[in-house]
Amino acid sequence: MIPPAEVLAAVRTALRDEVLPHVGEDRARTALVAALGILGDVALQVREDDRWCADSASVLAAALGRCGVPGLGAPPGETPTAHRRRLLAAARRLLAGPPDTSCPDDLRGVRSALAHDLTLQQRRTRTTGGP
Amino acid sequence: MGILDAPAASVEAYFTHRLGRGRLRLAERRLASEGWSDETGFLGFRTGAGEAVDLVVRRYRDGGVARGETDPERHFRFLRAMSATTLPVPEVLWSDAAGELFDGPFFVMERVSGFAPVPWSPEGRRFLAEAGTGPAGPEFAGILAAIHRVDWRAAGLADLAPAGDFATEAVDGLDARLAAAEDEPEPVLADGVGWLRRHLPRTGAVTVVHGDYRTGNLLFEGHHISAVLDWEFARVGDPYYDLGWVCAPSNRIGSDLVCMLLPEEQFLDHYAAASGAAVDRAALRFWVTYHQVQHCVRWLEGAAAFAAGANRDLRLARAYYTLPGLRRAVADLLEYA
Repeated sequence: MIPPAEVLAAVRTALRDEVLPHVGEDRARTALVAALGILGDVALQVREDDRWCADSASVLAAALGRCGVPGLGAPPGETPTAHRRRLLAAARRLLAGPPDTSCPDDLRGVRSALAHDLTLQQRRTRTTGGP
Repeated sequence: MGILDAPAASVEAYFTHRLGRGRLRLAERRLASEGWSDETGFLGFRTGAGEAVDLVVRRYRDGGVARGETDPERHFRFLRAMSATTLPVPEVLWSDAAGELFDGPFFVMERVSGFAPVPWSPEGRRFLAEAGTGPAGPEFAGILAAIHRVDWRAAGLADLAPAGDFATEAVDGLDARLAAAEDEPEPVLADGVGWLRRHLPRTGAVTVVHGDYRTGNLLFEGHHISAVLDWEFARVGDPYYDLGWVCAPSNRIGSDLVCMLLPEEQFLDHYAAASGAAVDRAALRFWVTYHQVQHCVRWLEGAAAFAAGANRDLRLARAYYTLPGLRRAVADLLEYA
C-alpha cells in the first residue's frame, strides 16, 4: 500500500518542509541537507524484495490444499507477490465464513501457515507493533 | 489553516467577545500535541489587569485517524457531561461547530495542570512503572469504575445509547471497516472478526464508556492522576470496552504492565473492588481481541489515507510498517501458534 520508495520520498519531503526550516545550526543543517540528497537518490534505487513471498506462498498453498481449496499453483508469469496475495485471499475466504467443523485440523494448518507468513513479515521490519 | 495559523488579532477579538472579561491580549499560542485525529492547542491571554487566562482548544481535523468513529459534537457533549461530575475532567467552556476562526470545528476548555507521560518513551515508561506502585495504580482503576458509574440518563446522554446489542453493532462496524480498508487480503483479521462473532459477550451492562482509556490520555500531579483527557471516542455501551483496551497487548508492548502502569491482575482486582463486581473474564477476552483487531483496522485506514494523499502525516506511514507486529498480536490472541 505504501511502497518503500514512496515512503522514502515522503520522509524526504517531511524533512525538507517540516524540519529543515527549523534547523538553525550550520553543522546540523549541512547534515540534514546531505541526508535529503541521499534519500532522493536512494529512493530511485529501491526495489522491493519479494523472495519471502515465494517461501510464504509454498507453505500457504500446501495448507490450503489440505482444506480442498483448488487452483493453488502459480501460473506462468505470476509473481511471488501476486501468488501470495491470491493465497491470502483464499485463506481469508476460508476463515471469514462460518467455521468448517469438517476439517478443524486442516484449518489449524492454515492458521499455522499464516503464522509462518507473519514471521516472515516481521523479519522484514524492526517493530513489534508500537507507534 | 489550524490553531497556529489564525491571525492573532482575530484570535484576540474572538476570545475577547466569547469570554466577556474585557480586552484580551494573546500572550501564548502553541500546539500541545498534534494527535492522530485532532489538533490540541494552548492559548494564553492576558486581561487588561494582567491576569492570565489559559485555555485549551481542541480542533477537529477532517483527515485525522478514525474519523468515522468520532464526532466533535458528541465529544463536546460527553466532556460537558463528565465535567459536571466529580471526575477529574477539564471544564469545557463552549463548542464552535462552524469553526471559522481555526478552519474546522473546535471547542474550548480550561487548562488543567499536570504531566502527560508518553507511554512509548523510555522516560514515560519509567515514570508510569513507578507511579503504578503508588496511588496511581488504584486510582487508574477507581476512576474508570467511577466513569462507568455515571448516570448517563441523568447526564443527558440517553439518546446516545445503542439501539441494539452494543457488541454486535461494534463487530458489524469493524467488519465493514476492515473490508473497506484492507489493501491486500487480511485473513488473520478476518479470522479475528469471525472469532468475535462466535464469542459475543452478554454482560448486559450499559454505561458511559471513555473509549480510549489509557495512561497516554491522563495527566499526573506527582504520582496522582489529575485529569482524564481525550473523550473523542466516548460512547454509551459495554464497560468492558474500556477494560479490554486497558488490557490489550497494544497498550503494553514490551512491558508486563497494563498501560505500562501495573500488572493486569492488580488492575482487575482494583477495578473489581472499586466497581463492586467480579470481572467477567470471557467478556474481557472478547474486548481485548476486539481492540487488537480494531487497532490493525485503524492503522490500515490511516495507511489508506496516507497513500491516497488525504493525510501526509508520516506517523501514518510509520504505523503501516508496524502492522506485522499488530497482526501477530491478533494471531497470538487467537492461539495460532
